[in-house]
Amino acid sequence: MKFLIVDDSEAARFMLKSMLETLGHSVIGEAGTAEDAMAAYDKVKPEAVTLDLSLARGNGLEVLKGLRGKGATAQILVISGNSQKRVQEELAAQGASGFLCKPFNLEELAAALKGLR
Amino acid sequence: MNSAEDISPKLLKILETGVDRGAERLAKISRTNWIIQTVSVRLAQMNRIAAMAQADGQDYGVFLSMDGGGFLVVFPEAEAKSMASAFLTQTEWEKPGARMEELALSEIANVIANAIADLLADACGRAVFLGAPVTEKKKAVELLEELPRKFPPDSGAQTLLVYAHMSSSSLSADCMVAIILDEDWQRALLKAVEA
Repeated sequence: MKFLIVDDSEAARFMLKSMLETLGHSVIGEAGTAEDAMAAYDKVKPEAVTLDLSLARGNGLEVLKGLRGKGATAQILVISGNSQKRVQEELAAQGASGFLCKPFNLEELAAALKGLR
Repeated sequence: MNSAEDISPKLLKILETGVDRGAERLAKISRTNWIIQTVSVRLAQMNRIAAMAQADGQDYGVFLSMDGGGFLVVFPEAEAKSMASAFLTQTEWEKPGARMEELALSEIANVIANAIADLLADACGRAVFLGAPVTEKKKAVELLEELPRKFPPDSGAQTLLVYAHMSSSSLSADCMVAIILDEDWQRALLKAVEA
């Protein structure tokens, strides 16, 4: 699959890109802020998005709502250290395709991708 | 919450569990088991927290904001290096010119702060989003001195200082987490732990 990575951390983006490529996927775009994520989605039209919840100038839930609100059909895997009950409920309600808690290893990422709805 | 005596055992348990989960997540990052040797929690007024920090040595401070408060995670410089190395070894990241240590520490702090935030939010039935981490290299006392300026003077914010010493077979690290909560958060937490 062709991925857009959305994460405020350069270190996390690097690590995730490396893991996705190891699993045979390609990364066609990266963004570190909510605004850049929306623009990057329109530009690269990914098949899947990995979405962090902690972003500069906004948060991942706002990006999820924004993308689904304009009809984005890409699978969206939320990857975050935030595993709160209320947040999980809201992510499911807003159309997240899956959730993976940070930190994670390659096997856990592969399982999360396999389980995308 | 007006004094250290006001920190209820239930709130202490929540915070200790949060630190435990932070250590579990650190174990995944560093590929080693961590043992928490000591955890202490102290409550302080915002204008008094700087006096509680150790004055000597440089530290890394990572601040993560949230509605009505925030988290400041402090690592002593010497230990921060070994923590960052463990993280960077896992990622095999070699990017010339990048501030790798700071970037790795901000991600580690993000993991620890979220582990505690999850428990506070779940206890209060809230949804909390932490802002992007902001990392500074200063003395802990300076980091704490600057903390009150991030919050309105009328917010009634107080600070819970959580000290944890975490060790593993290959690494040993002291970590301090200052949790800043405004009056609304304090009321919600007290209500939650009294229920």
